[in-house]
Amino acid sequence: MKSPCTALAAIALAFAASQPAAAASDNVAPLLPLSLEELIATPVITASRRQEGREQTPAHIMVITREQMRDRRYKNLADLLEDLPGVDFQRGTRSAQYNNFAFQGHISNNKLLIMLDGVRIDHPAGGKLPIAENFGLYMARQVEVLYGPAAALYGADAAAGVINIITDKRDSPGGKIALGTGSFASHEGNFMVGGKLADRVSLSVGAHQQRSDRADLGSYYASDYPKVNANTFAGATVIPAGQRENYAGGISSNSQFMRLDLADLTISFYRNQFRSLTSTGDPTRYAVYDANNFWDTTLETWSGKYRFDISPSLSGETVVDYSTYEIDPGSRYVNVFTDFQNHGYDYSHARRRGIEQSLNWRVNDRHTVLAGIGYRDYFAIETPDLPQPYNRSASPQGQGMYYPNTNNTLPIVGSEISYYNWSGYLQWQAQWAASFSTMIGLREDWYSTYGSKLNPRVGAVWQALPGNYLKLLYGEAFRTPSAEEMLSAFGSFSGNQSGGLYTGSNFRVQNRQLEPEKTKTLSLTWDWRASRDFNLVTNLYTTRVDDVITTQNEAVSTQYIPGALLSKTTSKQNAGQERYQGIDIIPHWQMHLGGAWMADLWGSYSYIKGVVHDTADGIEWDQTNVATHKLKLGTTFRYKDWLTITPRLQWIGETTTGRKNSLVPGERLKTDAYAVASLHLGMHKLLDERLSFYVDVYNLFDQRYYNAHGSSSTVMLQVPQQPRTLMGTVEYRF
Amino acid sequence: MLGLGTCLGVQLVQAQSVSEYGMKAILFYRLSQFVYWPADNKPPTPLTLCIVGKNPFGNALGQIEQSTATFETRPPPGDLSNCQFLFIPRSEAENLGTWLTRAESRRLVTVSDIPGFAQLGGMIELPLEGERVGIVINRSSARKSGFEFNAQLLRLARVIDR
Repeated sequence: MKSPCTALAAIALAFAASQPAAAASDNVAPLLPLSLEELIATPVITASRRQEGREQTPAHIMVITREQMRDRRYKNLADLLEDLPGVDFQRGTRSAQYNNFAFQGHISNNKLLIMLDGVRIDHPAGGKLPIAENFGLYMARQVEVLYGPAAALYGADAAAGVINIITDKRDSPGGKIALGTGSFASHEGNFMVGGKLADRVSLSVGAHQQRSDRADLGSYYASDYPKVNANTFAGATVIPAGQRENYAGGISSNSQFMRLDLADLTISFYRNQFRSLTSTGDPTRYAVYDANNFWDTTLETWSGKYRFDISPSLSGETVVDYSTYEIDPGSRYVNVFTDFQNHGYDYSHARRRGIEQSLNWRVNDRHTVLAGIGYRDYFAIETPDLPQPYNRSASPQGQGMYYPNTNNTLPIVGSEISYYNWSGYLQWQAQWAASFSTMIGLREDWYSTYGSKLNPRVGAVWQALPGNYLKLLYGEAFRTPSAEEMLSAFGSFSGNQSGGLYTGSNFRVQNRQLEPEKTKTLSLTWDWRASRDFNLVTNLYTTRVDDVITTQNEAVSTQYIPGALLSKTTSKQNAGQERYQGIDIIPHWQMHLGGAWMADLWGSYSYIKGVVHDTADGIEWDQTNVATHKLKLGTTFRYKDWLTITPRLQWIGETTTGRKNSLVPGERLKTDAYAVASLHLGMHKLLDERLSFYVDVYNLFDQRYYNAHGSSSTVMLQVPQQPRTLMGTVEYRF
Repeated sequence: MLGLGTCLGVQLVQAQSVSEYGMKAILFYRLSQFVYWPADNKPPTPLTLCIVGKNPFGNALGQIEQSTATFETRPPPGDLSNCQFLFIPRSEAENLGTWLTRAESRRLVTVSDIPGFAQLGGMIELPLEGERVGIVINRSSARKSGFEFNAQLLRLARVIDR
């Protein structure tokens, strides 16, 4: 294990050398350009806590307030992510994750932390997840989005950024309930209630439930969903075209939230569940579209957080958390890989528990030190495709199942893994002058599986001119291989034998030797507050990722199933390098239109150029699933507080798919550019000012367009998107 | 697991570092822009913001005054007749009834961070709610003196209507 002692000593020496600053007076002038909404969302320094502002962190940060979520109709994290600068979002393209996205070039959620009040609520062991309707925002006071690496504070997987959903401590009784219904049998509802139970004791609870059949894409995009023979790889017809099923694509989700505040102790519970079909994103010739062929994910997190003051300048926080993830044992694939037979059940389980102690020392008005140590341990189970649902009461090795077509001679063996990590970090923030501050941070993570990972983060903020902030940030991060990447193994036998061994091809093989991906990012942000009503942020970044984990063909097939002879196997390997450069330009303008009308304009233009160096063929290929150019615009027109009208428009340029263009080395096949608009109406303060009514029209002009996919040869290159969809929602506050 | 609230998360906030009374000073000034004056009484220019008792804002209001030049401050005023907005700090909690009575006889907007101020008949209360400063408005009290509030402020505030 490497020691960060040298760096710590350097920081300590720097402190010793720095002159204690005189007590600085409160400088409030930089707050004057903020809107009233932004002001009341701004934390203040209290006796026990030190809060720092957007101007004092070298990272690019966006804060989305409750009002903005309400008016723009960000009902869940998918809605919000889709509208964020620098995010490519593909809806309903993946068989297990359902949605896919790239965050400033980083593909998927496993390079991004998702937190609830500072506690991680995404995959406990760093895997991929559906980020969809399951992450409802009914409990959120605001959502804070940090762009760039933060592993120097948070450790593994904070490579692309951090999303933190902030909730309220409820001190007065009250709540809300919302019910909505719309096109294609879409129904959803949520509630939040809370109040003070006793002196310094308050409780909030909430939940959401949602389901939708979604549009029959087989009708809207008939040529993309033809009823064709379902043939095996060997060419045998299992389901003739005349007997093929109709399209199905329904989803459902629910979540529950609880927050109990007992003086300085906060106990939280959060659980969400999402179900979609495993045929999502597959062509009809390769998959059976049936509501019983689903993928059902449940996430659950308990946490306790205790805050305490040791002295007026030194405070601490102890956080314990326990998090689980599970795939419903009924989740299954019925597709070409299972010969269209019902023996493609999957199961996966992960658990993480941890404790972390942090200290916040305000040395003086200009210097702050944050430090912490932590411990986490992990456990995960992965299985190959199973002919029956996984039996939770038996061990992964004791399921008593056999590979189909092997005459019950080849047992299926699930896998499990346990590991742990220790961590320690230190961060020093210094305000050298009113217009210049710096930050240096370092974190050491030691894993029982991968050994030591040391990640630095350094940055500076310079107020070059009044209202102009320049931020420079360099950070390193790492992403640990998920249990799925290490342990996942699947494939099926046809029954053919050679030399007394069952032969199988195209199997996925485990690789427990995977190493973490390593990320280095440099970003420059210009935050210009021209006036109280206009803000322009420009964020320029360049990222390099080494040891990228990709699926590779094995030169020599690993023979991991006794009694079988495998060929053409693949496995996950550290076999690539990615580089992205991009810029996000983000204006925000509030204006008075006359009379009681106000307008809030926001938007972004994003450019990205990304390449993936694939060591298998030595060629630099375009990064997958990103559009070089993206334009996202929206305006909320507000009449007093009675009416809000929010049109939104997105123009997404040609987007790379996962499929390589065999005619042009380096290029990938692309989807066409598209523009899609939505319109959101809100009528408020009805019925004694307690009732709001919303109408949401998605895909306003009923465009036919596609989102990129093509991660393998057996999935769609591009996936048709929903036609015009209407939702009506009533919300009652009490 | 480390929370954003103790670490990077402290940075994930909207604005720069500010003390409780720095923020309350900003809000005291900004609230003056969200109040509709009685129809028969044109608002004076510049507005005069007064503080009675011990000034809790330090030089924060002075900074704002220099930056905006749209109002004057008088901490503390000898006479309320020139004030349009009156801040009653916690140091005056014991004299709250007296100040509200004096304010009622003149057309001025009362603001305070005394706990329960709005419930007790004040117009705008600025309570510390966790790490943020909230806004509570007693619309009935304001209407008695002919004041109304901008819809944007009402949307962001907790409104008492009694």
